[in-house]
Parts: sequence; structure tokens; C-alpha cells
Amino acid sequence: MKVLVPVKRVLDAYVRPRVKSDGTGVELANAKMSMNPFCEIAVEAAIRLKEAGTAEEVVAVSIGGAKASETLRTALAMGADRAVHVLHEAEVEPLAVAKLLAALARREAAGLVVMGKQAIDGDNNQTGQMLAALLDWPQGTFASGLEIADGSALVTREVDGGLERVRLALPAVVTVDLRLNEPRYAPLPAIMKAKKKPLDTLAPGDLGVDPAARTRVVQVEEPPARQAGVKVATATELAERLHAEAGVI
Amino acid sequence: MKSHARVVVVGGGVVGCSILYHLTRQGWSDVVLIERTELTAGSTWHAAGLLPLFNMSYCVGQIHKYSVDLYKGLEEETGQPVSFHVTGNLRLACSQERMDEYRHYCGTANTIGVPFEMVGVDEIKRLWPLAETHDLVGAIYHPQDGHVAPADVTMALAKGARSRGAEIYRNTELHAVTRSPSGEWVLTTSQGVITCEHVVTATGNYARQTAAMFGLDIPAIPVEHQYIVTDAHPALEERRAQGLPEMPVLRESDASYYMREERGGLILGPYEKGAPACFVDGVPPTFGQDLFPGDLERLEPHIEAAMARVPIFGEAGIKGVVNGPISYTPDGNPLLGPAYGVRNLWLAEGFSFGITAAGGAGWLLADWIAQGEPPIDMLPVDPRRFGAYASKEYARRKNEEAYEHVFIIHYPMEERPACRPVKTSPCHDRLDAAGAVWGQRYGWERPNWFAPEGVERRDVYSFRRGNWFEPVGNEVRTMRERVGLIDLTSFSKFRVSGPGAETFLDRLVANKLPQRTGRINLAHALTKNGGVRSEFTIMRDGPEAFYLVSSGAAERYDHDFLLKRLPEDGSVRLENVTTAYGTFVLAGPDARHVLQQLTDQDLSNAAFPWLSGRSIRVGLASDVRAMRVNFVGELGWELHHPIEYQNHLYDALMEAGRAYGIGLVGMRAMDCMRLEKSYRMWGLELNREYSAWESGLDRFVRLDKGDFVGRDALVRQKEEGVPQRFATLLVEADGIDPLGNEPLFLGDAMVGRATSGGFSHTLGKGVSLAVLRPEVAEIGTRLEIEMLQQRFPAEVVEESPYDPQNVRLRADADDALVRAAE
Repeated sequence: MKVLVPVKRVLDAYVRPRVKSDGTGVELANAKMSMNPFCEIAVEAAIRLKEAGTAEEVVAVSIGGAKASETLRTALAMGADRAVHVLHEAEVEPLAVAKLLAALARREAAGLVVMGKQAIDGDNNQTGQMLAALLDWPQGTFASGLEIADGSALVTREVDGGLERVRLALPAVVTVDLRLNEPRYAPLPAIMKAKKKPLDTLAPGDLGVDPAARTRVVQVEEPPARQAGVKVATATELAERLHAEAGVI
Repeated sequence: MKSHARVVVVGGGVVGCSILYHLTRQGWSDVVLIERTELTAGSTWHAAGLLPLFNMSYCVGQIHKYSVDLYKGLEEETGQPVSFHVTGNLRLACSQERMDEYRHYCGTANTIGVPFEMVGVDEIKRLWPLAETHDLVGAIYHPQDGHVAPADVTMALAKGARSRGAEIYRNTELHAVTRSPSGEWVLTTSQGVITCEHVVTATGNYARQTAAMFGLDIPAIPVEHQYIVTDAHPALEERRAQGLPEMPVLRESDASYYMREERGGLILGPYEKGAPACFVDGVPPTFGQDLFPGDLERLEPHIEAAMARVPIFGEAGIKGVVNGPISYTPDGNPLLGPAYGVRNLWLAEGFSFGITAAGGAGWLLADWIAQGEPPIDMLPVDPRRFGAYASKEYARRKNEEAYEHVFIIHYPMEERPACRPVKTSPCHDRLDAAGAVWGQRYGWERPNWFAPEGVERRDVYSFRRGNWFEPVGNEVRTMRERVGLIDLTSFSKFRVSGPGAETFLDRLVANKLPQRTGRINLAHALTKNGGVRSEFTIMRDGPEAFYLVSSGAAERYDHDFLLKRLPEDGSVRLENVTTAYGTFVLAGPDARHVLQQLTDQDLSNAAFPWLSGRSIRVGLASDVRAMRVNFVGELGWELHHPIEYQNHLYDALMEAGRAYGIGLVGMRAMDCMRLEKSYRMWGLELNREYSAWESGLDRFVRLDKGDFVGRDALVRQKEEGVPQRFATLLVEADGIDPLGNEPLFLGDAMVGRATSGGFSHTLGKGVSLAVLRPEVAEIGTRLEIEMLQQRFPAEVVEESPYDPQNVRLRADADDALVRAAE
């Protein structure tokens, strides 16, 4: 079985995002970028399947500008076998991503797509679901457990109030949640070896997809600055103020 | 926010907080720190927290030592833990040359009092059992340093400062600076206006932007530095489980990296080639407490070396690459001290070893501000050591070079290639054609020596003897036996004139000013503690006019000194004429014969005595100021000439000298000759740390002339006893020469420190200039000098072991007499 793992390059989780002075988006110039943390979990899940002998090949995919290849190298260093880079400098919306991935999944004859439930930049949580719909494959989202057996995937889903287990017939799309695994850090020799692993570059047109945006960003604003807290003298005063000022009790 | 304070420190990194802390320890509680965002934002927060005591500089070494001692006690004092891991620090050597570097450093360490051990391979294996050792020669181990948590140190210093009254305003950005009519600083910040007496800038990445607000252009530009942090490794966790101590910080100089343990994993920090300077045109407004993307490719050779040395490093997963800006300067030392040309502005910028240096920097700068003087000589970090040549582009290239050179073998005579040539004398090409091997000081290209035909035209350095040894010996013999020419155009030159000139200068120097027009005196400007601040050769040009010459590297240092003390009534005019005049030194027994061919001026002693000068015509060059002084101790003249005549003068002198076998002489031969004459060098023997008495300047100090700066301290010291004495020593060693910074011993007791040294080609021995305890400074005392960790006999001899009676430099027209006397 071939596993396809889409990965996205995003502003590092520990960098405080700053809005561009013209309000058109988040400042990314010279900022530290990393693989989306949920994508890391997906890569880890895929290479564990390979290590367990369930998957034959792990193919990492990224859609983005030239630097997205660095994110693919990270996936290769972790253990992916090869990578496909769909080169497109402009922002790509979830639907276009899903279309590109659908085309790739068919082209690669993938048996499973494992991907993050969302990227931490847009927080859209749409791509996996759209992809499953476009491919007409079953989907298991918010996975905190994943087992492959007898041509199906047993997915444990984190849902409100508990865990839900679903069995999906393969091929399928699985989107992963935070608690599925703890992704490994690649050691240096693997990082260096990753540079020699195959990485193919495609254009969206090669996959027959027009990635043009359908939405327009009107304005991006910083969230309002937090007000400084106040110290209260007694529990009574705290209760009074929570009631009278904050209106929460 | 306060509206007034005595001092405002701009910048809340570890350096700024340390300065604030130390100001309060001086009893200055009316002090404020402003920080544009949060404390430690900038570079402190991502520093690796290392505290290496190893440093080749006597000054910087003391700064680092102070920090290490301070940080050890900070938690007890402030209650804020600083996570000081005293792991020790193991610096490996893969070659004998590297071992020589460490052995040379041992001399400095001993004079500062830094404890260290030289260790062999077995001991390396014991200290670092996870390291491969088969290819090592040895190591130097500092048991008392280690690493610390930079943010915690900063918070502890801030807490200590607040507890003594200092106030810290965060989210307070400096927007504009003006000066009130009474000379106070008025700082407009994002939180209001504050007026103060002194401003200290400690703004790290923002150094140049801050300096620009004060009208300054300073060469502090950061360079990207990365370190790699690994995940935990079972071998290290196992050591922890067994209760084994953390291994020392490991430094493999020959592979240019440091490595230490961190949370069961490792940190690797290489100093690689190709690390770019950053924020060259300022910090973008969007850059906050941020990092740059990592670039492992640049680090690959170092990573491979580290994996070979410490195999578990290749096994551990890489958690992250921390790539952040660290401040740099063209020579890698900070800019710490008064700003050039601006009163009550203090710089604390360009710290590339900020955590290690912050403690000591705070101590020294606070002393300087509060007491008017720092307790140790700080020339190697003084901001005025750089001139206008140290521009933005210069700093960009030199700072990258300094970064790349962190782990090279630090030869005291090392010359670095970036940004050269930048300042040249007009005769540069002529000297180059004559085989000059160039050195650089204060931007000036100067021939260090001349490579004769058949000798490779570059420096081959050694801690024993460089390849220039024989050629330099020949240059010395040329000058001692015949006649030589040195280009000293780089000399700093000032003209001081006006009705107040005499009073102004007289108050600043310890010697009497020359009384008659055309007379020359050597005079020293002292600190109020009697230390030696500057050395000037002063020639009187008239009743109200003086010509001052000082070291080329002291241009800004001396200009700033004179400038800030000028009387406000306009009665004194100060001109920096450094670049208007070139300087040749023509000296040697035949100097008079050579020069006499080119001038109508009678050069006999009667007409032109020692320590006099006059304007003469030499060849076709007019207005040549001939001064009968020199730094080599021979009959000779310094010819200060209008720069446009330089090549003519050069050609004329060389042509006139041909019959006498004239030769070109470089800086290394000049240094040898001045050592043989016990001539003190500014910055080495002469510095603020040693009083005029300790530097043996007695004959240049005239207590009877009236008051001058430093007089009271000298009088007091004479009464209380001068703690050290200047001495000249001859050293018996085969193949090793003193270089300066060596400890001197009587038995097991360290009794002094050499300030400079070299091989005397005339006397055939090593010669050291040193400061000694008075009881061992008597002529004939036999001491031992430590060089490369070996002891060699060193005997205190009379001053100026070459020609002690100065017969040669006073030689009269009939110098056959002098030769007969030899």
C-alpha cells in the first residue's frame, strides 16, 4: 500500500504572528517557518505504518512556494521515501488543495491519505473532508488512533464527549488529531540523507487544477490587546466583581 | 514614569540590566532602564548561556572572570535562581600548534588568576567518556565555568537593581534624543519624556539605530549564529540515572564548535564560514522576539566533525535549530565605554559573548560612570578604538570575519584579510614593490616586515618564531648599523593653538611643556588616579601653538580626550591633522649623511640638537617638519611632511641613501628596537591600569610644575608606596621569545606580569618589559618567565639595555666617534 501524506509549511508555532502593516495578511518575510504540527503527526503515523510493514511507500506532498521543498525535506528526514512538490507561490485555498491532492492520490494510486486535521495558520479544517468527497473515499477525521488490517482502517476519533471508533474501507482519507502520536525528531544523518531522496516538482496545471483563489481577504487585524489584570483584596470582592463587572457569575 | 533620573540605560538585555544593577551597587539609586518590549527580547533570550573563561585578552579575560564569579552568587543575593551549571569546560586540541595556543593563553590565565588544567587524553576520556579521543593531542580544562540560564540571569540582575531603587520601564521605546541648554539629555520615549545626566545604550541588534539618534556611526552589526538542540539520548539519560555529573562544555577549536548537555540531549553550536551579518540597515519593525530559519547546510562540516567526535550526537533526533542574531564588532570585542565626541553618552554595544561579558561589563562601566575611572585597562573594548573608517560596510564584512574566526588559533601577531587595504600612505605601492608584508592597525596598512627575494611573502605564524624572524633581524641591523626608513604616516597628529593652548595642555600632561619654539617633549596625559591615558610627543610651534603626535591607533581616543576638555571660551583651537601629513622615520648612524644631502639645514648637534624640530626643505619638498626624535634609539629624524610630497620624499631619501645601504624597516623591527631601548608602548606598558610611577615614567613627571590631572594621586601613591615597578628583563630561552602577557615568578610566587616582549636582535636574547613587585625590580634580580608553560631565566637589567647612555641618538656630526666607541 502506498500512503500519501500532505504537509504544509506554516509560520512556526512558537513565533508570535504579526499582521503586515498594510493589513493584507500575516508577515512571513524572514520569519521562522516549520512543518504544520498536525502534518508532523501525519508523517509520523505514515512512517510507523511503513515500519510495521503495512505500507510499502510513504510519499510526502506539499503545495506551496519554493521553500515548501524544505518542509518536504523534513518529511523525508523523518522517514518518507519520496516527495512531490506542487509549486505554486500564491496562497492556495482548501478546495484547490483538495483538488490537487485528489489528482495526486489518483495518479499515485494511493491506498491511504493521512493528513493533519487542519493547518495552524488558517485553521480551516476543510481540506481532508473535501478531499474525501472529491475522491468519493471514506473519511476518518480527528484520529487519535489508527490501525490498518484486512483492507480497512480502524480509526479512533476524538469527538465531543468521548471517542468514536470507525472502520473505513480502503482507500480512505484519515485526518489526524494531536494525540495520535508524538512525532519523532530526525537525527542529523537522516537529515543529510534526506537531501538525496527523490523530490519531484509539478505545476498545478500538470494535475489539471486551476488553483486560483475564490475568496478575497478584505483585511487582517491584530486581536485587541489584552487589558491589564487587577489584583483584588478578598474573595468577596472577587465574587462581586465577577458578578457585577465581568457578568460571568 | 519618572521625569528625571541620573542615568537612563537604554536596552533591557543582560548587558543593560547588569549595568543598571552595578550602578545601584555604586550607590546610584536614581537610575532607570527603558526597554522597547520585554527584558531579554533581542539576543539574550536565545543565547546558549555559555560562560567560557578562555580568552586571550588580559582585559576581556578579566571581564569574563568577574561575570562567572558574580553569577555564582546572584541567586543567594537576589533569590532568583540562575541555573548555573558548573560543569567546567574542556577545550580540545588536535595539533601541537593548538596546544601552543593554549599554553600561550596559560600565561594570561595565570596573570588574571583564572584556574585551569592542561589535560591529556586519558583525562579527556574520564571527563567526556562519550567522546572519541584517538586523534587528540590534549586539552585545556577550566573546572569553574559552565553555563547559565540567560533570561534568569537578566531577571536576577533586574531584581537586584530594583531592590536598590532602580526603575525598569518595559514597552518603552526611545523615539528621540535632544539636549537641554544645561547639557542634560532629554529622551522622548513612547511612555513619556525623561531627562537625565548620563545615557547608556545597550541595545544589541539596534546598536546602530540607537547610535544614529546620537549622531554616531558605530560598527556594531549582528551576525547570525545557530545552534542545534537534540532530543534526549538514552546514553545521557542513563548517565543521569546513575547520578553521574553533567559533562563539561566541550569545545573542539579545530572543528570550530561548542557542545553541551541540555535536558538529556545535546546542544551543538558551530562558528561556521558564511554566516551572514544581519540587520545591516536596521532591525525591521516586524522583528520581535524572533528567530531566523535554520540553515543546516552551512553547518555541515562542523556537524560531521561533531558526529565523529561524539557519536551519540548523530543518533539523537534534532529538536530544533535556533538561529538568532548576535551582536558583533570588527574585532569581536564589545564597544564598552565613552562614545566618541559626545559627553555623558556611554556605549555598551556589540557583545558577541554577551552572557559571559555582561557581568564584567556592568561592573566596569558603572565604575567608570560613577568613579570616573574603570579599575582595569579597557582599551581593547574602548569604543574609540575604531575610527570613521569602520563604516557600515566595513562592519558588515569585518563582523562576519570576526564570527568566522572565533575558533582560529589566536596568534598575537595575527593579521586578518577582510576590508583591506582601506587606508594607505601614498607610498604604499612603492613599499609593496619592495616586498612589504602588510599589517593593519586602525585601518592603516603598515609594512610589518619586508620579504627579501627568496622568502615567502606572507606571515607564517608561530607561538615560537614566525618566518619573519631573520628578515626582521636584518632590518634591525640595517637601522642599527647603517640607515633605515620607516613609514609611520599612520601616526595621529594634532595641532593645538590659541591664547589658552599652553594652559590647556599644561593642565592635561604630567611633563613640562617644551618652553622654546622648536623644542620637543614626551608628555603623558594621566587619569585622575595617575594611570596613563595617552602619550604625546609635543613640539612647540610658537608661543600659542603646539604640535602633538601620538599612536596611530589612538586617533579617536586622543582626539576625544582633547575635544571633551577644550575650554568653552574658544581660547583653544584643536585640529586633527593626521591625514594632512605623512611621516617617515629616517634613523641610523648614517641618517645625517643621507638627510644632509637633501637639505640646506645644518643637521649638526649644535644647529639641530636632540629633542628639537624645525621646518626644513628636503629635496623639492617644502615645509617638512623634521623632528629629532624616534622610537628606535638611533640618530634620526621623524619627517612630518605635507602628504602630497610623500612619494617625492621617499624617492629622494632612498636615492640619497643608496650609497649608505639604506633599507626599509617594518613595524616588527621597530618593535624589537623599541624593546631594546625599554621604550614604553601606549596600550601595552602605558595604560590606565598602571600609574605613571608604575610605568617608570618618573623622568616625564614634573610634580614641581604645578597642578595637572593625576598629580594628587601620584603624590599620594608616592607617600603610600608604589605597588609595582616597571622593569626590563633579558630572557634566556632557545627558540621561544616573550610576546607579552607572561607571568613572572620568583620561586613559586608570581611577582609580576610582562606587558610586551620580543627577541632582541642586537643583544641576541629575549627582552621583556614588565611590571614587577618593587622588591624584585632591582637590577640583577633573577626571576623566571613562563612561556608556553615552561619557565625560563629572566634577569632584571638596567633600563635600555641597548645604548643605555643614549650616545647614539645624541650622536654629533662626527659620528665616527660613536663608531669608535663601540
